[in-house]
Amino acid sequence: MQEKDFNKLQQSEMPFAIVDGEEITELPKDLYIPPVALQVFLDAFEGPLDLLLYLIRKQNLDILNIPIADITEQYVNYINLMKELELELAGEYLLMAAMLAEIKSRLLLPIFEEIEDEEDPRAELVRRLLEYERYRKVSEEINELDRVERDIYLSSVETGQFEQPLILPDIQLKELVVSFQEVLKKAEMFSSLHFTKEPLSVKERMIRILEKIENEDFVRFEDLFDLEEQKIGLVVTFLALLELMKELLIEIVQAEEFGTIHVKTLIEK
Amino acid sequence: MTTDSNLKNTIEALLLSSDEPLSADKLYKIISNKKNITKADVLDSINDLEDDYKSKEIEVSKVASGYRIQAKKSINDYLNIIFAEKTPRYSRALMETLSIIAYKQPVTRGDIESIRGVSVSSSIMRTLSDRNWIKIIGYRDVPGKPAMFSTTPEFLNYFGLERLDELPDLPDIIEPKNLDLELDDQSKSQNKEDPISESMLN
Repeated sequence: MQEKDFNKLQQSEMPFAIVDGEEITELPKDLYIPPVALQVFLDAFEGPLDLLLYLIRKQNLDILNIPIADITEQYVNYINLMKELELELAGEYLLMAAMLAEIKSRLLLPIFEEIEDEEDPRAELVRRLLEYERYRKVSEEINELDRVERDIYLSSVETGQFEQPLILPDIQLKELVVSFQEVLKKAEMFSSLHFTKEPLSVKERMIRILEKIENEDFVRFEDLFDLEEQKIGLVVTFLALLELMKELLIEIVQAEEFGTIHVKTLIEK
Repeated sequence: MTTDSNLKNTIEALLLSSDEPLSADKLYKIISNKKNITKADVLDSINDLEDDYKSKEIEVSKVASGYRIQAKKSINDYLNIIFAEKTPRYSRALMETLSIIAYKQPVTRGDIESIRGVSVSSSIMRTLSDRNWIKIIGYRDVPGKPAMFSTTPEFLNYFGLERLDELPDLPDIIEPKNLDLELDDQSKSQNKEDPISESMLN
């Protein structure tokens, strides 16, 4: 009996499977997808905006004209699916579900003509979706750029081992103060009679110093001061330097006694 | 014409030996310690080197941090075989985060989060910092003093670029004015077709 069936099958279309002796040539509509496979699918989303964009694009919907009711329902279905699969559901997904529900409820309210300034409840969401999509698109383009390790191969030769010990002496605070006094003296030659008060933030000065030295190996201590500034500006620069030193963002070195004092960034490049 | 083949050879060896690209300034600083040359000499020698390489499968390339010597793309088919297993792959999340930093710098974690709609992954930020593609440029003067990130020359080097404006153009923003108009029309018409209001009329 079994053999007879088998022969008959070979003559007709090749079936996917034989269940209880019956040949199956079409996949059942309600085919069971193992949860593991779905997990992979859901993991592929980079967040609620990504999932929403996927739902919108899958149905060829106009992003400027989203049917909120449909999309909300589909979105919530995905969320429920994720919950059923006991996937760890990031809070952002729930927040988005709440936002969609709020938009939906506001759309159901009647529109009062006199309130002209009232914005479409979807506007904020659409703005965020569009903004996210810009960066998503451009990140795909960047991903296609030639890059080292994939499309660009660097040529090099081996260099022999060599050591070059460089011992930098610690410098004393008093030397720093002496150096600073020289800067102040120089600044006096530039002094004039401006009395406009400038708001000077040590923090901001710290960042400016970091920017100035980040691409340099060593910067001369004096070069960090703008001599045309008033005394208060120079003091702020000095405070910023001390603060940077305290936070271990810069290093101050002096190669020899009474030599030039150099400032060096400690932030790794 | 060949200016000074000795200088050209020195520069070639320096570029090949250095782990990172060397700028003309840096080459000049290094070499002028021992030899009496000008910056123009350095640039001329680099030009000569480029000419030399025309008949070879390597080339001098200029990126953000300076010059480096790299293989020409014409032999990538072979190189891809050698390095196939060493090619790192970067996730979409990482590329998106990197793109936002590149185009909107300086940005805080909050800025990145508000565009991507998910919290910024610490491991992605660590990878980007470890690769020296991003750095903290300062702290925004708002409560919490969040760090502001920017990209680095190393980021441009990696993608073979000299300047940020060589990155692909960011797609245009759709005019919010048009957006509002369309939304208004749509929401009105949608409200008319709303099954609830229809059933109330019946």
